[in-house]
Amino acid sequence: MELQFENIGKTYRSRTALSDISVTLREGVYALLGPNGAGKSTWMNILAGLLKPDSGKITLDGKEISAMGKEFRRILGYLPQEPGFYPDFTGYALMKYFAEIKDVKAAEPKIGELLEFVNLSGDADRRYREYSGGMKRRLGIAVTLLNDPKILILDEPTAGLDPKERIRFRNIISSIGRNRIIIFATHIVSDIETIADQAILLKSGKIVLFGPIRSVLDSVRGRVWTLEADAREAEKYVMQHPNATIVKSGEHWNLRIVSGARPQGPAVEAKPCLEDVYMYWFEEHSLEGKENETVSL
Amino acid sequence: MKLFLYEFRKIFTAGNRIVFFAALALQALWGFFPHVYEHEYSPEIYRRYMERIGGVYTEEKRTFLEARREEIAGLIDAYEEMEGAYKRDEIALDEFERYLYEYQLAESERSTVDYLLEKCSYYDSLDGEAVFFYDTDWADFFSHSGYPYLLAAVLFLLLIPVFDREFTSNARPLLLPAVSGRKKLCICKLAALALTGFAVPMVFFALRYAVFVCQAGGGQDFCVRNLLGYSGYPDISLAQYYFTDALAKAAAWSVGALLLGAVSNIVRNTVFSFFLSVVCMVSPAWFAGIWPPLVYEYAFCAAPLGKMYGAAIDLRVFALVCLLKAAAYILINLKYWEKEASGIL
Repeated sequence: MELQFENIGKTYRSRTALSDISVTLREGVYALLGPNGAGKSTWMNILAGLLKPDSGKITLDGKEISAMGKEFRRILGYLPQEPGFYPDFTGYALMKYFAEIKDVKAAEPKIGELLEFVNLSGDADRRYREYSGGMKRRLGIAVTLLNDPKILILDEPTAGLDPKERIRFRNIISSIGRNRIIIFATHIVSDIETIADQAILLKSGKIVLFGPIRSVLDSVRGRVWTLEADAREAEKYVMQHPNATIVKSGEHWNLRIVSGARPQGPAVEAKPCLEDVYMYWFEEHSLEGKENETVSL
Repeated sequence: MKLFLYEFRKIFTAGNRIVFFAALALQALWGFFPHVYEHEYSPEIYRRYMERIGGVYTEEKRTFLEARREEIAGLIDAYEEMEGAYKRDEIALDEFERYLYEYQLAESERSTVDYLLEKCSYYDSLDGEAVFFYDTDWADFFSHSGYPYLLAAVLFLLLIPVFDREFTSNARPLLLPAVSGRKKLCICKLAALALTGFAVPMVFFALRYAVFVCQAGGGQDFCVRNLLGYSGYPDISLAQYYFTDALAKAAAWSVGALLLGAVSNIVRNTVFSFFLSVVCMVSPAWFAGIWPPLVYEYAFCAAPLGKMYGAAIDLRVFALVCLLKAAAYILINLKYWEKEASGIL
């Protein structure tokens, strides 16, 4: 399965939301990373058929998805940011309703399986309005999986979840990530570090970096530093490196700095993580000169 | 079919069911509330006359009424003469008091007898058989139907969310990418809108009728043309007339329900949807006087706007106008349901 985006562009009045997006995706979990307003939701909405691109085309195995119509929608699963379900419906009734909307035949066993899978079997008869944020998200993923989608789009699915719920959600995604294309748009990098195969970094509507997670991490190798400092020195470092991550450790402060140049003092090169990649590519001061740069790894 | 039923489930949520039944209870209470209307005659005296001359209108009844009018005129004209005779002691007090009693009776009956004779002339102008019966309550029932604000409020509350809910609760992004989430779902929603827009008014109209019949008694099988000023209508009973009108109104409300859907689909904002719905479906009743009557009745479906359908209205043309409007609203709904909303998504 090959999902190809060719020169996709979208503009809202004078603001460019997406510009010349060209990328090919195959089976795997793709982390779509970018700050708020980067164009992630616009891209997801275009793929889900909610928005029409101003330019370019999307093809699945050579066929344009706009021409595929229902055929494409049959294999598509889309969980938008803050999905709106009907508060008076029970979890089970919502599953049945969406099974009907998705034209899933003999849905009853499938609904049972999915509710079990997202650990909501015991709450299936409760009204949606009584669900916690995490339960709502898990129901959302169960609804999205009803038609066993080959292309699954998850737009900020972990926003607002507590750490326990986020781990549970990540586990669900990990377990369904075979034989499908999963696009996981987020700006919470820790959510996808362990489950994504590839990362797409989007900034101001453009892809700035695309490749396997390991290669993406390599893109900042030699630019991540750790050092220990007292309170006064730590403050000085933060002034110089506003993107520094600070963790208090006893009397001292541990700083993690992403910088092209080695910071002054006893800085030690560290193994990069996806958060460093995010900080490097999206931290405002470090963007100069990278705006028009697209790196494919 | 299942999707269609789900739409009903979404319309009649627990909260909406309470609103619906509370509105019905209010409607029934309002029906039982005593209404006082002004008439050019005395309904009580009219009722007494009907007990005496009720039944098929005949020449004898007309002659009787004409004789009574002359008698009344004579009694009233004799007042000065009788008063003078009493003052001149030409008649005794007893006799004068008997005259005064007759005079007051004549005075109170005069307008009613005049009205009855007006009806006689009206019945003479009719082709078929005419029947005298106590019809004041029916005439009041028809002429004081008024704009159904309560029904409008209930329909707005039930029907605006059919599309609006999907936009404001962000359910639409889940629905549109689904196999049946586009045209099929939109058609099911429109069918639910149209059917609810038809059925709910029919329930209200039937309840209004039931409450009226409980209070006013019978008469529903008499021809509507027996009511003064209703000669332009066909030879149908009062009940048939009411339910023909109720059907026309319900059909117009049903078309209006599709308009509510179109408004929600275009503006995608609850407050603005309610505002525009009031502008489109209530305000024409406030400015009824500025339109030529026929244009007003056809274009704005005057029937739902408060009065019974006029005799000049051709119900076939009315039905055609409703169908054309429904077709236009359906097309708008289908187009805007799938239309992207720049800046919203």
